[in-house]
Amino acid sequence: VEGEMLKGHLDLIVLAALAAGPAHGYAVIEAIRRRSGEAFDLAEGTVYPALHRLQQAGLLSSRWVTSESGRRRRIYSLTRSGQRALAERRAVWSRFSQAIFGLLGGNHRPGKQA
Amino acid sequence: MIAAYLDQLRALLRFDPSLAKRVIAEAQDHLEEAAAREPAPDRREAERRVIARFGDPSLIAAQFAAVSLARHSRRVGVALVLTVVAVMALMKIRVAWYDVIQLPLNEEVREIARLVLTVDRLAFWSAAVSGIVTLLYIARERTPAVADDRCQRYNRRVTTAFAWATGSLAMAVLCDSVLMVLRIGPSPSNDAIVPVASLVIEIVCIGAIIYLIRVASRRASAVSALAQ
Repeated sequence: VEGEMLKGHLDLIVLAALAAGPAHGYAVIEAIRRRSGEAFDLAEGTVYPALHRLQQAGLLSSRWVTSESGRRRRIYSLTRSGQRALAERRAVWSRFSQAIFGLLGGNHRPGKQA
Repeated sequence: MIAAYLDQLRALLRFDPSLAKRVIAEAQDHLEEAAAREPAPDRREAERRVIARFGDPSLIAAQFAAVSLARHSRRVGVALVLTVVAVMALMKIRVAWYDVIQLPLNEEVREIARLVLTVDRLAFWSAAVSGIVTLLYIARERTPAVADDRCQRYNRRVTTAFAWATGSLAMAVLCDSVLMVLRIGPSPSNDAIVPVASLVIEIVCIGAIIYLIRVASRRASAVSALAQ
């Protein structure tokens, strides 16, 4: 997947990765890799600024926990605003991708959404 | 190898020590876990691979810099608006105090006082409006994803607006000081305790805002060096 396209949708990708439940940075990156079928080749370190930015915007909350191995790690979870933002962005993305799919000659179904 | 990488990242984030501490802890946790899971012939090779996947530290630091600057700007904006509210409350307390101690202005200084009061009001409302508008602008704008030219322009606009608001507020406090001297006179008395104490609080608050703006400017300089 093109790097610039990926950067433009990084916030949505991170929010979607946290939809399943709270997770630390490494687990978020693993979820992105697994759920995207390893299609996204992003520098893993760039996910952390996105997590901080989303927390600052009130879409994520975070807390420190101590793992079984004794390492301190920060766990992120979606806030109510984050859940709402994810639902909104998902709907916008769905409309957009259907429109592009239709333009590119796919089976566009006007008025229908995923 | 991981330690050297983290040192590099820490050095790049030195403009915000608390952010650097948090980022280093998170990056260390990530890199250690990734290296432990990496199917590599030896630990050194595992660390090399996970560091390569984590990315260029300057790119990561530039992204964190944008977040740090936006967070600090918000903090300055909130502090500025709270100071404006505090200055207004303290002005009201002073006016009430002058009524309590029955201290009207002398006839010969009334004209000067009227002029100073006009400047005072203009300066205060200029500070209040510019502070609130800047805070609303910060709340409305999305945090830039990276410390690029757009981010630096945004920071320059916000810092200039804060400097204007703080300068106006300082002018208002200066006018309040002149008005107090016109009422009470240059010799200290018990009647001056409340007005002087309230002015000291205002000056300390403005000093704190100037300090926060200076921190923001220093961080912005460090960030522009990162962006180049």
